[in-house]
Amino acid sequence: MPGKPFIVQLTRKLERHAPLLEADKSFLAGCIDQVVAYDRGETIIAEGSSPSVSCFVVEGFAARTKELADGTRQIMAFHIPGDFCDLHSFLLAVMDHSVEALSPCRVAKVSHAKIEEIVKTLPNLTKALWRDMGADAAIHRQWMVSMGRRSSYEQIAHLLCEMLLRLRAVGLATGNTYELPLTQQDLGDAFGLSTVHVNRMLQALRRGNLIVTKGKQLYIPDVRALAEAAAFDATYLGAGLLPSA
Amino acid sequence: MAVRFDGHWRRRSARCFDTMARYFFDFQQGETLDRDQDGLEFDGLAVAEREASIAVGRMLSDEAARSGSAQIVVLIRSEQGDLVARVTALLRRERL
Repeated sequence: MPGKPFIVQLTRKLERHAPLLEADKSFLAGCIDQVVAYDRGETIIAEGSSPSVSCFVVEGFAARTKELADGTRQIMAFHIPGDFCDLHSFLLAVMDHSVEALSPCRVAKVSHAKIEEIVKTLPNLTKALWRDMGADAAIHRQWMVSMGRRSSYEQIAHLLCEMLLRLRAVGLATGNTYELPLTQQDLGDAFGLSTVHVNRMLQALRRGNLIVTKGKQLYIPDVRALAEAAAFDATYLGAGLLPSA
Repeated sequence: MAVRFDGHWRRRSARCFDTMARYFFDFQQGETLDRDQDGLEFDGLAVAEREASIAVGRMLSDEAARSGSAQIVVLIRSEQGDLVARVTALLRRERL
């Protein structure tokens, strides 16, 4: 599938991790087995399953989730277009969490046989994918800091800064504006906050003119001010300093 | 499709949506009253009260890191504008 926009998006993202050769790009262009559409709330990969494919998000938002015995849900990662959401399933015998669509989603599937081929024959692409998993791990570490040490106000402000940079990296932010199709429940489940609390923090951010929301669209009038409120340092995203607003 | 229902993920059912009601959560801290303009939908007042209790508990924890005392009051209003519940959390340090 050469030239597919999502392949271009994935290639662009992986090239930020490691330089890719023509052979890598050409393999990426032909590695998709199928693209599947999901509705919000649908399970893309179920906990306990042993998938033979890995998925990357083409459109929409997905999340790694864990459902607890009492029925509550913890979100452990948000995945946006261009993200592999379960590359590690190539190495895991059994999925220890689920991947769920948080908005209408299109997900491309790459067989583990093809990933095996990448590992055996394409060292640059292997390195890029490895670093991509490393980038996911860096985001996890930041989330742990947020959960453990940041105030709820900082947690949400931090996430909004992070999403701006991540969406910008795949061309899905226009200036300081992006679409965030997450509900307050999703945000609460990511940070262990009640929806009432998330709602209150979003109102506080709006009142402080740190964010402007219109439906699912979010605008950050002054990125530096929001970054300051969140004590946000973009180093973990490999993004360097934020541009001025 | 799974939906959030009473704090849990449940299969979508007609009943789930029949019982949802919108509540507004006004926060009072000191002299300041922040009126909620948006509101949130919950499956009954008991769930709204529980969510408000969890919220003030966490807010108090955030506040404890900054100052020694705080009182946070959440006033819950119904869609009709009636005040239907109040949740209060108090943090006070006393040297004895």
